[in-house]
Amino acid sequence: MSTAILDAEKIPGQSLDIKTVIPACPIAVYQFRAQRLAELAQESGLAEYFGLLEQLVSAQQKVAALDGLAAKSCFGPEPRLDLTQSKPMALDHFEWGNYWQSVLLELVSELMPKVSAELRIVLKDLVKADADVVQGYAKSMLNGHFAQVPAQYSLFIWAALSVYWSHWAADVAEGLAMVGESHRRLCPVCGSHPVGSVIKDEPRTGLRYLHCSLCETQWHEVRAECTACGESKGVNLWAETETNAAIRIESCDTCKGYTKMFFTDINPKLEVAVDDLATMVMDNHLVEHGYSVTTVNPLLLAHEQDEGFQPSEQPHAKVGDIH
Amino acid sequence: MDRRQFFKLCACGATTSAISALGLMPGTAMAAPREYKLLKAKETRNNCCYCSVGCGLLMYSYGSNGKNAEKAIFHIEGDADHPVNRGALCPKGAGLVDYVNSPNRNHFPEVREAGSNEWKRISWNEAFGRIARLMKDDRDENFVEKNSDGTTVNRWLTTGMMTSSAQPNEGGFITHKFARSLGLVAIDTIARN
Repeated sequence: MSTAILDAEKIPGQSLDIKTVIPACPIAVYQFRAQRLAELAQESGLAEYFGLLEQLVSAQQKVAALDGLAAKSCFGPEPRLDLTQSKPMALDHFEWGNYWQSVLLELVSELMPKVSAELRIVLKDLVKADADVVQGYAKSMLNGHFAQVPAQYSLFIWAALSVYWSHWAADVAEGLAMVGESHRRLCPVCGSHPVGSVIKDEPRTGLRYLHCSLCETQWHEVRAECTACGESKGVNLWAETETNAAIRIESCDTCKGYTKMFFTDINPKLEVAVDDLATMVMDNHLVEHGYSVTTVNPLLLAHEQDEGFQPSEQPHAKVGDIH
Repeated sequence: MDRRQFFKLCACGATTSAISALGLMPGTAMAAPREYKLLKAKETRNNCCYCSVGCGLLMYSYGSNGKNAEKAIFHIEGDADHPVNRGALCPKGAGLVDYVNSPNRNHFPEVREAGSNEWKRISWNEAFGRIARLMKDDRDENFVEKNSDGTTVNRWLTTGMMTSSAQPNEGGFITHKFARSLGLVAIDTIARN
């Protein structure tokens, strides 16, 4: 073995600083998600549903990849955002208009030739529905009232909203990342709930990022703390093996909530939304122990929340907070 | 796992899930892909106490459920969020879980008398008494009040002190005051072990 003394300038630069926000790259997110859906379809026990999801996510990827005039006519003019307030793309913080509905039309026209006759009827009904009614559905969903939307439409409406939001979110997230802005419980860009925790290899192994269920932004949150209430006492991890489990569930004895954690440093193939759906049997275990889920999965949207359930908007200021 | 449970899980009453609303629920009883047996471990944040750097740790333990259950730490890793070590640990830190569970770990004071090769268990009171006695005797015998020039130096050179390394400023201040007021010159921390 030989050793060499390197000049300080010759050692490759390595930034270990925590990035508070990681902006979404929608095309890459959808491509990765579609791939994982195809991989898990057979063993999920829900092969047909996974097949539909794969078509839908592939359609999302196609629409997200539009550029030039096509993008302009689909996504409309850039929404005017007030970047001085927190969560600039939250429902009530900007005029989001109805351009997302043209995204919905694009998605539906992508899906139409590929789905079964029954689904084609559902999709036709959805695009024929009154624009104001559909706008009302979107508002309900963004407010977390999924039960107010017909269950056969919710998946497609959310998919379209997600493409619209993620299209404009990247720039906002970039700006937030520059100033180190973040938010603990809800997405710092749009104020939505996370899908789950993603444990990353970069910039440091073991950092936890929450993945937004709407705009696909990821934001940093300290480990060993409840992602819903911020309490660090009584945090338990549930996993199949003692160490190196790629999927674990973090439960909190204070708020009785739980969040799934996906260790992409252990299994880089994990996709937060798909693997959450594929491991629903794990949820059963936690529900039996009296815990309830604190996250929203865009591929399921069935986690019915009580009308009164609203996680605290303001993060608690805490001693030793490193943000 | 039967179908009812599956409905409960993914549908919260089969009406609100897209899976069932779109008619994509498997017709026969939903078979779980496989059984998941989940282990429950408590996750705690702490600091390594083996040197003055004070690296952040995440510790995992079992048995935090029952009152009589014995707690056992089974895994320790670096805390990626910690501003000092950023998730990394030195070889000493990486072996922490073996220190914690070591069969050779001291659980009580012991003494090996001069000339003997046997360790004998003693009580804490006995230990404190002996330490104080031996310190006093040694200090009385070897304390240097003035040097050869007649200048007051108040040194006690025949005893040294090994202190904790993971202390805040205040702890370090008090430790220093205690040792120096006795005249101790040789002070070091366990960081150098």
